[in-house]
Amino acid sequence: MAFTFVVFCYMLALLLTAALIFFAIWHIIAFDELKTDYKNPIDQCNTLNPLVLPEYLVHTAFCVMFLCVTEWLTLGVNMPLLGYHMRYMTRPIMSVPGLYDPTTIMNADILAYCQKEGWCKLAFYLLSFFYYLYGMIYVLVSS
Amino acid sequence: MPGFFRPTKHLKRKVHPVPSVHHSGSNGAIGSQSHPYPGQSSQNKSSWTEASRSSAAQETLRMEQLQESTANLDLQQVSSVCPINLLQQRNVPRVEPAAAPEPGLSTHLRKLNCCSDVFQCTLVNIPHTLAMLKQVKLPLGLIFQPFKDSREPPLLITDVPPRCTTCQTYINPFITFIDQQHWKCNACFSLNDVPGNFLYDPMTGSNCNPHSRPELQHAALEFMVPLEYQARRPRPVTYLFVFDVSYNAVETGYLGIVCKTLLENIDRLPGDSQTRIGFITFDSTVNFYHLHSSLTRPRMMVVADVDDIFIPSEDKLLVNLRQSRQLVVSLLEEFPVAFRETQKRQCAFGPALQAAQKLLKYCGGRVSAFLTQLPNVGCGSLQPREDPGDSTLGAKHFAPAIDFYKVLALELCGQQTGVDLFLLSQRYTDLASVACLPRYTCGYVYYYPAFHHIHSSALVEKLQLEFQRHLTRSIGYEGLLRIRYTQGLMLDTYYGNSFLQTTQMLSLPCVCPQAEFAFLMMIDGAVTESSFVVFQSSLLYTSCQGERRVRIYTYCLPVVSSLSEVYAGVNIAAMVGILSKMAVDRSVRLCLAYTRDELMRVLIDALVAYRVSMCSPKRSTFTIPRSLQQLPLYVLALLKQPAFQTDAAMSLDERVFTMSQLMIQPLTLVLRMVYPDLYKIDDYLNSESADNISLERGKETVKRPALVQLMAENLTLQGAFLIDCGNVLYIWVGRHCSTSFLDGVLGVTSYTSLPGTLTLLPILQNPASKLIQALLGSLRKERLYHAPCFIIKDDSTSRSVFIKRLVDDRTETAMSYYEFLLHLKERVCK
Repeated sequence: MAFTFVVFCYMLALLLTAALIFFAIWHIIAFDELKTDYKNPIDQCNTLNPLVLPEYLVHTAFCVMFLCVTEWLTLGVNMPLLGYHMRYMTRPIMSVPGLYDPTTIMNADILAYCQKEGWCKLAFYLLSFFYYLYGMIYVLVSS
Repeated sequence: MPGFFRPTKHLKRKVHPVPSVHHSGSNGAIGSQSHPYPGQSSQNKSSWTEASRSSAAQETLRMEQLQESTANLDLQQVSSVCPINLLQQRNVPRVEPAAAPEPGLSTHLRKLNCCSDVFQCTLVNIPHTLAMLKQVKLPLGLIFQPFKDSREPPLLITDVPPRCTTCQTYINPFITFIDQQHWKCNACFSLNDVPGNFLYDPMTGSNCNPHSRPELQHAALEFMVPLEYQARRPRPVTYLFVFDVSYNAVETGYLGIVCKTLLENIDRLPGDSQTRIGFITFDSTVNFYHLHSSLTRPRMMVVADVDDIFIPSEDKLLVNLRQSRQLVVSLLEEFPVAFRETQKRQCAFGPALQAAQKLLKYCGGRVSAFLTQLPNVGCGSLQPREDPGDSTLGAKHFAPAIDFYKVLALELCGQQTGVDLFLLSQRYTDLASVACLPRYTCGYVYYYPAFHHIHSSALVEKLQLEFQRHLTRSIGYEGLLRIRYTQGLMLDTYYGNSFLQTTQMLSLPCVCPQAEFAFLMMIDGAVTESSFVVFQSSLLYTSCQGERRVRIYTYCLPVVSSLSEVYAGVNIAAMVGILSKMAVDRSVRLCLAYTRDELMRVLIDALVAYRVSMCSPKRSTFTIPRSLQQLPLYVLALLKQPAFQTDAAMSLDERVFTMSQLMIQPLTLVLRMVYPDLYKIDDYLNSESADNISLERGKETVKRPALVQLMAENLTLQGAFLIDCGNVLYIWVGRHCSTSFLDGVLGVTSYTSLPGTLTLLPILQNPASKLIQALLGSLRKERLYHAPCFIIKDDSTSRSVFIKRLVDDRTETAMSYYEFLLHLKERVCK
């Protein structure tokens, strides 16, 4: 049972995935508040936009980490989400980092899309949490 | 309607009594009847309709009763569903959009319903499930003008109308009473108590019929908000003028014209004794003006640090108009003179607007900003990004380059400040970015490309008239518009100025009568609980006299379950409006080529859907229902719009401006922009000479000449034609036009003495000219922008300006109407 760098990677991924799950839950609640007219879009976008880039950076950091330790299966699982995050390149013109534009966010199709995205991400992060947990124990036990 | 399918003699029937019950009982009966022999049965129905119109009053009464009891497709609507073959009817007229169909409601409800010039819906009979709406493949959209000077003005009532406790919808004439004590809201279907004053009238001391209350008799109401419901007292109106005084601005010479117009109208600014006014000018620095009544002369304060704008002593900058009137007048007289010698070429527009935002932070108001060049100093400076060689026009050109103006606009909207922008530049000014300011604060852009006070007299006149109208028209401040609708419907997208604050609310800092809003609606599953849907728009605003009022309009439409009824209720005018807004939205978000494909796709899908659902697909003739017969024409006209053509020689600013006009202008103007009206006017003079006298006595309405189709073969050499394109009017003069017309209206002795370029129509003092001016005046009434009228000779160099507006004809890059129909037939009937 050697405490190698791989184990450390998995442990770090586990902790940071907890943070990602928190972000996903925040997203879901925020869009639900928008849909039920509880908050106005300008304030809500001001709270949502600062969270977008940290989430994407954390996930990119995972991918880089798993690339370094040559854990190809884990990397393969995370690749689709990395590809999806590339849409940050085509975001609307904004001077602050972020993805959500308060003037168009209230359109029903965008709102529905963002809600679906929130739920899908939550499911993915939960599954990957348990996957990293399994992966960490496996690596710990097998090395 | 001209071109009505005349029944052939052998099929004419004698008058039949009202159809028996079983015929109207089965919903699909009328539709299925047209199946086996569509040509024959449609002719049967047309003869039926003609016969029934000429039948006795007793029979029409019985028919009405039948309509009320079954609320089914009436005979007039039947004729609008009959399929016609467009290719066989080349002259199906199409010179103006068909009148909006009446919703299939009982006559009692129809009388109560809101006036149709306030609310328009693309499908007047709403399908009852989402599946049916998807089957029809037509957009369901709502276009309304909540502040319009309608021909049926809202009734002013004294009490606050009762509201539903769940969804806050106001009581309206279309609710149902469950029993004496409860009423059912028609938006959320919850029960509410009937308030005491509905049942018991304290004045007479007796029970009264709740139905006689004004809230249940009128669909257009207005009431004043009592003080206890207001968060604070209404603030006085504040006007702030932001003038560009750089070298470029002085070159164009607009400042003299604007100051003169403002001086003439200074007492006609809407407001009361508390109205306030302020001025800011900018070039490379931002200048403020102290106008407090204690001073003898206005004092200018220059803030040179444009990176960190601060407001010097703000209580002296916004002053009461009445008290400081003399100072304001002397300032306006000084402005054109003071900056005559300036050599500064920079433009600090962004900092000037930041200053305006800080100044109006606690009071809100309206900003009228003038800009003559690309802002290049301080925050908000822009780069020229027009590339004439780049023909892939899309989001990167039509979307804003920086979000500074959008963020500023959102802040201004939060402070209840509206911005109107006057753009008078000769070069590229990145209208796409700068126009974010008026767009999100419900203001307007006034665009004068290549404005010069000497060389462009048409634009000078336009600026004077539009600025005057802008100053003097009645507006509402601090507006909040909420739209409520029956459960089962849902708002999909919003098109127009301003943006959605919640799923049903818009914040409108300054709302004017021409403000129009469009929503694309979707059906959320099914509309099952009621046979009517209701749309209610409630606009809370502060009038110029400082009263806080709410204006409510309620519009009721029936829900139908058969496809033929849905097709019978298509409102072509509203459909074209929604399609043009969708097209502009797609162009701005994606690209132009995609927009054109999308328009074609919508049209073909709609026609194929009709073919599949209503007639047998094996037949090879191209039939569409009468209610949709103008749709191919209008889609062709939209495709030919210069704004959507990649090869049209338009500057980027002009293109962005035209697109924004298609998005926000009232529907009547958009229809004219898409498919102009063409009138023959030399005959009009002769036949109307008898009416000259009545015109001069101040008669309000002017009879319009007959509309002519937009084809070159309709232009005769002996005639003169007037084309109304919405924003501009042209009079085309044929080679052999009558000398009386030339002399009376145009002021020239012969055809050859007309100049070969575009000239403005002169205003002369003879009866013919007065008649034409009255006609032009009636056409230009109620428009936001002034439309100048130009004269074009048949053989002048500017002839193409007129000819390209003839939509029905073929051009080098686009098809004629008939060719388009053939192309459609190929795509639809394969």
